[in-house]
Amino acid sequence: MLETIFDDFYRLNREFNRLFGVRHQRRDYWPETNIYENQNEYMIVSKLPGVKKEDLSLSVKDNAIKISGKRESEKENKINYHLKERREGEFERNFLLHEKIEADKIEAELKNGILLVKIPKSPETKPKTIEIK
Amino acid sequence: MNITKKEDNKNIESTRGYLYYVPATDIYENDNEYKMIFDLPGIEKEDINIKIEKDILTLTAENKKEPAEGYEVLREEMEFCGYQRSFNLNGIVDTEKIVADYTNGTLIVTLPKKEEQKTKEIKINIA
Repeated sequence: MLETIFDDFYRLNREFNRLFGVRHQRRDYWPETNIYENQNEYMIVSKLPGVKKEDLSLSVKDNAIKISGKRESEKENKINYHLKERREGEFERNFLLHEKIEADKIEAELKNGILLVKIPKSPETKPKTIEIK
Repeated sequence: MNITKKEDNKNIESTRGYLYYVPATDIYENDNEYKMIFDLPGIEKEDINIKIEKDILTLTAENKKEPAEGYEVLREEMEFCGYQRSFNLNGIVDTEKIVADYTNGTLIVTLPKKEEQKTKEIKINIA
């Protein structure tokens, strides 16, 4: 008996969380992006599920990278939503990289909703050995 | 007829130590079918598994790729892990005719309604 009452409370709580989006509170960033580096390059990885290649644009100015685009849902008439958690609309993210980059050698790939951008660092940023006389 | 009302996610943990995200999901219905749209970025088509047991639809997707091996992390907003989520279909879906399609990291599952659940217009003549 008691157990079922608590079960109901648990369910109620979960429904509330679902309605008011507690589960997704961490998603302040959209699209979620990770940035990595090694000695030769930077790598930017973004989660962009459902975004078409033609709706996505990538630009670079000095050391700043801009990822922008939009995600649209299907436009169907007479539909009735039960649950709507996927964000849609326009997005834009800007990242400033510390070291000089080679803008014309940037490679970008969109696969399975993951955007992978590889940005080579400029040769000037490589450490130089100085000969001691 | 709310398909999500009895959503049953019992926080099942995997014994293999995989971590699962709850994928962002849209569910809508029109006259003839329900549609579920799941965001599964980074997942290969072969690693998606949809099963229906006792009228509960469970989606499991394993992530086998970590794109950033050999790199140092400068900023981390997400992890690359699998996805898992279950929904109770409440006996309103024709489970034999479910179709799924995966493109651009988004999985669209089309669930046709059972014949008796479809919206029909009934004309009543008033004398």
